[in-house]
Amino acid sequence: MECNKTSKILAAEELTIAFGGLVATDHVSFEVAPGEILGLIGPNGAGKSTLLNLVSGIYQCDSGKVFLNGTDVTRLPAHTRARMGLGRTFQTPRFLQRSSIRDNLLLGTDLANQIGFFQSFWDKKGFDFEEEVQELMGYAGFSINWHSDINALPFGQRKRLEIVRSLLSHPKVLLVDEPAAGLNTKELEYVANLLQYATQKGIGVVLIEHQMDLVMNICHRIIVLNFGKLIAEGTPKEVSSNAAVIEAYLGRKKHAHN
Amino acid sequence: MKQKLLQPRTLLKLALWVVGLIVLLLLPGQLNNYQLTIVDSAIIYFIASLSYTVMLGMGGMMSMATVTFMGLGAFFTAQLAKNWGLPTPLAGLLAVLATAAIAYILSIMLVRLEGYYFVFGTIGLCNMMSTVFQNFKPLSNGADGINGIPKLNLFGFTFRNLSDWCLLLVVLAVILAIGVSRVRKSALGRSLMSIRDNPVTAQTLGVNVLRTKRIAFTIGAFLSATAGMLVAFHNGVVSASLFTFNVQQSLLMMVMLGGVNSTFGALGGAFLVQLMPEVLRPIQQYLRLVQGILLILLMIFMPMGIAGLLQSAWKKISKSIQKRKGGLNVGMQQNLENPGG
Repeated sequence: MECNKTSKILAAEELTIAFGGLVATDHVSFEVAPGEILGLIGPNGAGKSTLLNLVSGIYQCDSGKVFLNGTDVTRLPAHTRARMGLGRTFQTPRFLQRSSIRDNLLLGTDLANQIGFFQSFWDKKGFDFEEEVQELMGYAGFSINWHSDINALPFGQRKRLEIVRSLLSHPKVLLVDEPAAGLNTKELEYVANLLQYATQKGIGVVLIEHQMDLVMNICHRIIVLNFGKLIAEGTPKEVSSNAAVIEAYLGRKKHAHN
Repeated sequence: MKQKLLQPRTLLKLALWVVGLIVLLLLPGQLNNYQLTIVDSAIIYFIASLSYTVMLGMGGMMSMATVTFMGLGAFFTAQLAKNWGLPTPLAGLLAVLATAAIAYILSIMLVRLEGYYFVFGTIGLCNMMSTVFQNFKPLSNGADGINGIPKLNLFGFTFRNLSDWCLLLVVLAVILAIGVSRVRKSALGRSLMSIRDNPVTAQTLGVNVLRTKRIAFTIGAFLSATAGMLVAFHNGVVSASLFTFNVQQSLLMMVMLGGVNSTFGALGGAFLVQLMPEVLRPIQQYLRLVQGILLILLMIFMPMGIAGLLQSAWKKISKSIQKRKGGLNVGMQQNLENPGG
């Protein structure tokens, strides 16, 4: 069941939102299958992060629908969607700055366990997560010093740690917003490792990324946004030779020739 | 990880705990009544400040109405024990639970306010209720307050003198503080801290922000009400002047002095604020002035309070121990560095 590409784990239908007069996302539809990495690319300001915010419920859409695992979640709040298996990371990693690395990662485990507050007050379920963390850190390419301050971690490690935290929550879908921004080549490989590990687990991944090598290498399909509209969709090969995409990224060809 | 208990850090921590507890338990016998009054009220205010530990320290919610719930707890206790004639423990328990229930209902509205708006909303509540306490005779007997509250009687033992009270308060404070530090280590604590640091991220990690804040507010009110109930039984009198905005300020000062992020830090803060009027008796009229200057200096030079100061000292000590004894901790880290093995 996990690798059945026909059953869509996440589907967005005609998602639209306007801020004032600006239509940031304009009737965008897409689908993600379990174990699939869907690339989401487009120039700056194309509405990629807005689309992720609509899907994860941080913004409520003006019209359109979001389906998670076949359930209509359009009107459900962000935390309910997260509990239903929608994980996400942010462009700049977001952690609890005043808490330990352990507590930060436990937030992911808490979500996976879905234990009540009162239960977690008494029993220690979910605390033996170190084996899983170690496995994930193998993919992430660095090890955790539990005593160190989370703010003292290098940027590249924090970005990967945020993906690790999301994976600890055992999501069905993972929305990843520019995991490679500011990372070096070696670190890019580890990000790719983590995302590929996610697909092995049958997680559907939506990846926003500007680093084209990464996108072209690991995405199964790509959709392209420009000015809030979906302008192209297809395999990496199809998209990279698509005229509209090239125009959006490089400017109008005709003008260039004149 | 299995050898956790043998780590020198843990042993040292345990030893400090045991010594601290013995000192606290032996303390009452050594003090005279005047000193005991100060110690007792410091401990009661420490219990009240635990409410800040949960709300402000973990959840980032700066409530300015914790004395309101303290007042409700105190007046309910007084009414139930004196005028309704209920057995004292039952009266206390009912008073605390009733206050928590009221707090939950109020929280439905209040936690929708974010940041500064929450502060101002609770200031409104505090001022409103201190007027109610002063004038609403059926609850508080107006400006006269309620006196002659029955003595607390637990399992046939009546708490009459201050040193018995001191023991009871120490035990209660330790139980409640341990409870609060358990909250910090539970899913509730982590959810609260995630809301404090980043509400949007908290939501994407499945945290129901409003519900979590409501629970924190209710737990806070529970702790405040417990302190109020203790004030009522300990003093035998309660009056509206104990639950004004001024008292709220003092309470907040204890918390800031002690350190917002620490469960036990507020104990130090509570003692300082309780002792200050005694120490500064010769220059009584400048008390607020000194307090103000102290608070400003404190926020500049040690924003995490006494607890923050102790924590950094503790880090230094445990580091030097680690260096000397080495072995165990280094072994642990090496394990983590080889995820395969």
